[in-house]
Amino acid sequence: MKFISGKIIITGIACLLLSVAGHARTNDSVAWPVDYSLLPVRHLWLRVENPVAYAGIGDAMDIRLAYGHTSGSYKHLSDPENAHGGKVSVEGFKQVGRLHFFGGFSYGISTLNGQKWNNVLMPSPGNPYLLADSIGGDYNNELFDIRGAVASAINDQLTWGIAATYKGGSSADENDPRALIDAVRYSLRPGILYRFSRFSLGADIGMEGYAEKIGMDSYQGTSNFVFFQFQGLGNYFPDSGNSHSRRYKGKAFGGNIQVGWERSGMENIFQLGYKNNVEKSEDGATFAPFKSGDYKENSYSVSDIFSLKRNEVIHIARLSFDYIPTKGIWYDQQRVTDTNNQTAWEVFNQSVQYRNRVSRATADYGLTKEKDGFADYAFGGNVAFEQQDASFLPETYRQKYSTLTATLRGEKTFRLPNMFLLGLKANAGYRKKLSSEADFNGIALAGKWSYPVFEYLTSDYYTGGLRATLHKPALLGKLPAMVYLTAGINYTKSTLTTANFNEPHRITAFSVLGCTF
Amino acid sequence: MKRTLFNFLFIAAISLLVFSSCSDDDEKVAVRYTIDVTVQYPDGYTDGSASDIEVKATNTQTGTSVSAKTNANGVAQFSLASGVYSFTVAQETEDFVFNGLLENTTIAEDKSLSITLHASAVSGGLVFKEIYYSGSRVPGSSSSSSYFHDSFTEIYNNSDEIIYLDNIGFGALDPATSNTPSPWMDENSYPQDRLPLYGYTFYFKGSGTDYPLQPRTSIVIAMDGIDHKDDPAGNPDSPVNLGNADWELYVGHINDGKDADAPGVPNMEVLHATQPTAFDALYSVFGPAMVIFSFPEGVDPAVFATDAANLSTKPGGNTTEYLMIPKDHIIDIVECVNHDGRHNKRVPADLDAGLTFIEAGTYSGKSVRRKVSQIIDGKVVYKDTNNSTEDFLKDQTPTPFVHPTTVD
Repeated sequence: MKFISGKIIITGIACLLLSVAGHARTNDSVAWPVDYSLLPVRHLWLRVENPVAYAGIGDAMDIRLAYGHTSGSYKHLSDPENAHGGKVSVEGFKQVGRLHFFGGFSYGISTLNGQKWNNVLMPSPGNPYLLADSIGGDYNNELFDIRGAVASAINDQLTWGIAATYKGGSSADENDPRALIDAVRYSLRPGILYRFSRFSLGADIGMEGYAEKIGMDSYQGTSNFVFFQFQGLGNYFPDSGNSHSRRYKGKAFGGNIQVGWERSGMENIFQLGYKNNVEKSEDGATFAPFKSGDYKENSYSVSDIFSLKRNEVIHIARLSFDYIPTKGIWYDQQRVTDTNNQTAWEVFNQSVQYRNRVSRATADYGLTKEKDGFADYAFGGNVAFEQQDASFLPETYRQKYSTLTATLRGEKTFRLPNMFLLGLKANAGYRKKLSSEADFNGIALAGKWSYPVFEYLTSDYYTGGLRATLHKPALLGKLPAMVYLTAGINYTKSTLTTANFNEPHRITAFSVLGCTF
Repeated sequence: MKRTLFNFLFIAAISLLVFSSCSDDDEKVAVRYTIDVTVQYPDGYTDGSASDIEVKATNTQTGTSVSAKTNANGVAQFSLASGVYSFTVAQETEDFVFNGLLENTTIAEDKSLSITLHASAVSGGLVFKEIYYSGSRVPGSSSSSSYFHDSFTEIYNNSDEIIYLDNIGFGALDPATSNTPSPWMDENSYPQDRLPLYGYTFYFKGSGTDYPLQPRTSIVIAMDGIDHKDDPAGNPDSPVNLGNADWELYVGHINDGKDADAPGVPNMEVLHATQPTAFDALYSVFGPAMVIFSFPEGVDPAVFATDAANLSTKPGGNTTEYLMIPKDHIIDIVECVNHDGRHNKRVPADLDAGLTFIEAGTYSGKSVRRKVSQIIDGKVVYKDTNNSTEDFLKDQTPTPFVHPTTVD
């Protein structure tokens, strides 16, 4: 397995140590840190992408070490049978003069057992141009991300901010055809906010980049594997041999505008957003590449977040609607040999072969009663509607469905002796398929890929989770800290009974050891 | 303030519209194209129009195929997605076998195409019953010790008369594989009237009546006539025992003893060699174009092979001389190609309008075997339409000396 550059890990640890040092305080007046997870509740602007939100945050920092294990047969065909991994992450806010800084770093390693039909790491979730083999194996993954932002109020009216992220990872499989994947995603997002009277106008633009490199080789040089260059809905363009390679490149550009107002403990943010994302893939030699599909995505979003604070109770309601039309462009190519006997791929036709339209509408409400920096109690609910309509041309393969998911959640914090705090969270939900339609007649992998994936996406299921967190304030040297230990479990039970599924479930157990400063 | 807010929202809305309209909606959507394929009988054949004949369109890159029948005007209409297609026609009448091939046709618009059929008499004769060329994998080894010495071909007398094997030639066409276009094609990409043989070429040296092959029986020609499973020099994972082969392709007397001579298995006579140093008579594991052929009346094969008029160097190649066999002396020929989609034809369409290959790839221990057309009095009649796509089954477990008992 290829390891992430040691420089990146050292940089992250250095950030951690600096942040901890910056947070050291004297013991004269101990102010215990509050619940870090309540920051988005207290600061509504943290719920939008505009980095000006960081200008309103005081000093806070959180370090955590997490471990999780997932297993169960209710899964997407390309997900592993089971997975486990650990992750260390640190993030924090720091004010220096008029500048407000945010920094975050995380590094995680995981093992994905029994993963098939998936030899990619970071393409967009809607990108149909994926690479796979039907053998699969056990994958070892490393993922890291670095996040940073700085924001500052120039005067009472104008605030600016800029945020950057860098996320990278690698994945390796030791089973022929063994895959070695390296990927990176990065973004830069500047934003501004102009306040006047009770109103505020904000805008941010985002620029993103993506690159991924996949190499697949066989130890047995005479092996012959089929490499599936997927085109959408399980349709694929075949290649065979004992090795294969692919390269992705992507760019995204978008922005949001926000209109906010606040008054007497009420705050509202209305946001319009747009994003254009293009990802292109090529296979084979760089001097004679095979174009394996261009993915183009437009994303339109409108949302409204409303917050009301009365005494220590915070109500937050959110309505959002997203419309995401996407298309996949396929290039029809043939091998040509030039006078120097060099073989290359020549494009003789290109057309939109794949289309998908995703619509999502969400309504969410939450109430939080704060006490001494923690949620004394909280509850809420969420209803989400999703509709997808995908088609593959010219064969007119089709996949269309809509679902409605409703979730309830609740939380209570108990004060125990010796300054211990025990927080219990629970959630329960149900997803119902409202409509579904599929026509995969003619797809070679219909029974092996298309229908199992369709059944997974449209299954009714029950879901629920429990989480317990024990907090204890402590002085680490002179540094007030809130140490916490979390254990939790999430469970999803599907009602599917088909040739591919027999009332499957998926369970995730996790634990976190953390410290807030 | 309200005016500022209104102006801001107006500008923002316009900006969003501009952004979203910048998307390239002028990209064309994938459609199907109407392809009219007109099938014509060859000149001189006047027995009606080419109607009700099945034409098969095969996407050469994905392997998917669709068929359509010609109408009263001899036109078969297809509705095809963009791609590279080969169109094949195979028809069998009482007296003739008709084959037509239009290969590697790019479809990206509505088109009208034409296929002229080639006719060959239905007279039976010698045919390749099975060709095992893929080799087998040595258990627990790296690629360098994959095993290919267990290859064989089986030749069958598909007629109801005795055929004498005397002075019949055996070999494979150049290029050795179908990976690249053949340099032997003329300026119109058609094969010439003489076909080049590569590697070792053999013949059954006899007086004319020395080697009778009874009707509906076969001979097995082995690269090495040993039990490849049990022999210490063999491969325990080989699927074949060729210790009882009828003939062996022995070349040790040509290449300074590099090849072993299996005792008890008669050796075929070497007719010609492009590479006399090659240590075995290996025909490519990626798919050879195997051929059996005759010689002009009264010509000694050995004399034929040394006559400079029957030798040629490769266009654009070096000084290596290839033995050239006239097309009209080909008895049977099978176009085996690479499984990976590189299907550059070497065989003229009128001799073999199709192709076959091992889908499992090299060293898979699989063979191609001709389909059984009929069983008459317990004897097999194999299918022979001069179209390997139609005539052969892929990925078979090799069964030398064994003939099926049911029709395929």
